[in-house]
Amino acid sequence: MNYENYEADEFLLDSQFVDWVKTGQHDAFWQEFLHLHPAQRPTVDQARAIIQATATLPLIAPTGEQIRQMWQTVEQSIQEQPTEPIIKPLWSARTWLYWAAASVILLVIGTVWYTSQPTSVTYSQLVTQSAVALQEVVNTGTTPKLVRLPDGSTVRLETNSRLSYPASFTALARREVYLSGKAYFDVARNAKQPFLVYANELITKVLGTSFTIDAPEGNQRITVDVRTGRVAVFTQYDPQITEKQTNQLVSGLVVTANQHITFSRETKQLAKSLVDQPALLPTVPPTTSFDFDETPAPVIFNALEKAYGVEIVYDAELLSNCRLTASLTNESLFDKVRLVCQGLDATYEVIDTRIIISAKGCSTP
Amino acid sequence: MSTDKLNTNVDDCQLWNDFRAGDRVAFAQLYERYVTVLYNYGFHMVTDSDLVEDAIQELFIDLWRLRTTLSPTTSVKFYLYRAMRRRIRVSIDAQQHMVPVNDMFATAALPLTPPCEAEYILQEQQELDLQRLHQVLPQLPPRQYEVIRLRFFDNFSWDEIAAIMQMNEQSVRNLVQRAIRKLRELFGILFMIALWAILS
Repeated sequence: MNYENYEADEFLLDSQFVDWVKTGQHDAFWQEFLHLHPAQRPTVDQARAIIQATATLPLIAPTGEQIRQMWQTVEQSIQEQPTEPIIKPLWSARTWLYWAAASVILLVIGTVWYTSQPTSVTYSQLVTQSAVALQEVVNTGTTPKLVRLPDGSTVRLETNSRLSYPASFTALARREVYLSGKAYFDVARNAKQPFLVYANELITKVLGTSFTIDAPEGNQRITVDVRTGRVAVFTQYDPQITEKQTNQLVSGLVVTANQHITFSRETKQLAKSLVDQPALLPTVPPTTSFDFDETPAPVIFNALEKAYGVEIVYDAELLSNCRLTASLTNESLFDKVRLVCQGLDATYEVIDTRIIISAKGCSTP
Repeated sequence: MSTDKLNTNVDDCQLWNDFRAGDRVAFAQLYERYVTVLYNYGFHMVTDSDLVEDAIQELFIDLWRLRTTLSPTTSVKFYLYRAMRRRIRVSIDAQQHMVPVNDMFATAALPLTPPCEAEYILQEQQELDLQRLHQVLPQLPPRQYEVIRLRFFDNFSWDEIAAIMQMNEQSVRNLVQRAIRKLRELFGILFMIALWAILS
């Protein structure tokens, strides 16, 4: 080691040196070195100070409440996952009593639940309950209709759809509109005045972004597709509904670009997935080339993730030796992934909002 | 060196294997062990607590869902950091309006002292003051700051850092070199400002 000629960055890159600063390992060696080369002391001091300063930087820690809430969300989500069935004999000498008791309890709970269940929420109910006077646009034509809202937001209202909104948002804390049917929203950004769309039981809250809501009257499903930015979705049955409606934050089930939410009116459950045709993010120029020449597969996947804002899960180590040459500029995202997978002898599946790649890897030539 | 560090490692592997086998308690312990450092790491990439919370939640939800497909790992911490970084990057790209913490400093471009002069000032200083370095470090460009933090704060090795940041080791080394050059410049300015404050 030519430590006597080292610069500060070379010391920082040297593991022995870092170990000495952090743990005092081989202290005698380094003391001796400094003694023999006093001219190196300022450089050593610089490198040492940078290590010590970085090691003692303040930790930005979540609060206990944040830690608890995040864990709660994780637990709730994984609870919904069906676990492996436990196979046990259904009837044994003494279990019949438990079964009898259980069915009585279930019957009671079921009756209470049924009578206390809110009936489904509809557009007309919401509109009549609104505290402010609303005006309504109805599209009975055969082509979509462009509606300009008082805040500069635009709505492309599809056929057989209706939209209600106040004549002015200025005196209001929130921009609240009501939809029946399907519409594409391009919302003007205003963080101080959140924008909420009420579509039957589903509430979509945004600060400024673009997305499509499909909530046909009488249909069992309501869907939200996000084109840009992020929106929060929650239901009329949400226990924290008032808080979620009023606070300045976007909270609830958060949906980002190219993601899709389905609300089942029957089960009152929300599910998140990818849109059918993920589009390039608006920040990506449409002319961006997806031509790859002997490019490692992880680099290709990375480029796709960036361009579409969609997460692709793969084993980077396994695929690091796989190189591909392909021109994928005109294909849709799923076609791009399919073609790359063909080249890798791999398969992909979409799980929730992520694309999971299963590959065998490539051996080094 | 320290045996307790070694123990955490053994424990980590044990926890990881138990969790992969479907043990919820082990899973909860992994969460408790890593939630704070992951939050810290994420928050340095993007100053949006909602987004960082989302990323952590999704990371752990996915871990559980995909547990049967996960392989044994020698470093759980490394695995989690790499996953966290990918997730944060994707959400940053998905919503361009967020400004990563360091970009705010980077765009507020200060006039820089000529490097040679700054170097001279540094050489003059026998001991760098930790407190002032604490102020200067976050002003490094994001990736330079990240490399320095991953190495000296989170104690990852250079090859682990290269894998976490998805770049080769030489590029990581180049980032360190540039960080040192930048620190000298930044430190020079701060020193000048302090001097000016005293004199006026």
